Amino acid sequence: MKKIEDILIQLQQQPTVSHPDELADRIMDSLPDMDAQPDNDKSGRRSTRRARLYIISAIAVAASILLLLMLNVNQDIKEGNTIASSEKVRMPREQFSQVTEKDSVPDRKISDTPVNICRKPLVVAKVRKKKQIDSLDYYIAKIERELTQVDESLYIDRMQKLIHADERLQRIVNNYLLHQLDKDGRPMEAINTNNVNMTENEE
Amino acid sequence: MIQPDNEIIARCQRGDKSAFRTVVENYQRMVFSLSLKMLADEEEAKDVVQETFIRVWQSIRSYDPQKPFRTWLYTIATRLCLDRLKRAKPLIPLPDDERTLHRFASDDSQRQLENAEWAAIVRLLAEGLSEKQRIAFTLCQLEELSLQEAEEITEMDARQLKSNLYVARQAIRKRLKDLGYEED
Repeated sequence: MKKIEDILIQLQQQPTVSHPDELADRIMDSLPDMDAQPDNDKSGRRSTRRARLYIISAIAVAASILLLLMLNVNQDIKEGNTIASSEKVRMPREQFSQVTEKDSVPDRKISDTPVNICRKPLVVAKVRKKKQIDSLDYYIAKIERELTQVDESLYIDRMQKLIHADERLQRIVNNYLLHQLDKDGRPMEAINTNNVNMTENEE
Repeated sequence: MIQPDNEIIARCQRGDKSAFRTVVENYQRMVFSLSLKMLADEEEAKDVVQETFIRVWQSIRSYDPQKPFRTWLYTIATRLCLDRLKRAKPLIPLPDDERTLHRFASDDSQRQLENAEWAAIVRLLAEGLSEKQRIAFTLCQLEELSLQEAEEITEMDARQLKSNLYVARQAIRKRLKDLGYEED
């Protein structure tokens, strides 16, 4: 019995080809024409390369188009989301800006959108207030102008007439004075003093 | 194998088929030996021989006669064998393979193994080896090529080649030991 090393050494022999001439003939018959083969090979390779290039470029174009489409869709979705979310936040600002715009451009028509419908009362109230302030200022200025034209002897008389002429103004002034006195906790003498002072000034 | 005459190579490069037949006749056994030991199939081995010489014929013009022809031929054949190994199913020993090895080990005469016996022994010993281990063992152990030549053929560095050869040797020794064969 051979040992392991002997087996390995004996396996170094070369196996023989069963029919060497047959194999040689087979090889020689299958040899391509040396001149024609490389050119054919080259043209074949070129055409395969071209085909591959066309396929790769077509795939690349299709992929890029798909990518662009997907990006657009995503952007639209994102924009939609941000507009929706930002509308909630921006609503008061827009209202405010609408008010200021309304103030600066009074004749501008208010649009029919629901947002503007909500804004309408606010705008009107603001405008009214503004007009009231304007009119009060106007009347005060008018009174002042009239009083400057009146002689000193008639000044107090004229003032009393004006105060008495408007009962509401009288009430407001009286209420204001009483509130002030209550808040400060002053004694009634103060009122009297004020009154004295007032009368002194009147005199 | 002797380096083919430069004159024959030059004639082959000019497209002389009769000169090329000389090359085929001189080298087909060498290529067949490598292919059979790698693929463990006689017909596959013959196909590899045929394909190898077609490749040689196609690129003989680019061959540099200063370089060893045998190494160039082995390189082409090894690559074709590896291509086939990648596509082939893994080697599985047949029930009779062990008996074939036993017959071979018991025979003290230095008779030539038949190709079917070769295939059986390779199937039995190479089972479980990786492609690199098989190529290293076949070139360095069975074909007795130098490490430098094997490096050039396999494009593995010396360290890789040595480690693959070592692992393959150990695995085959262990297998033979398990089968009841004695070490020295």
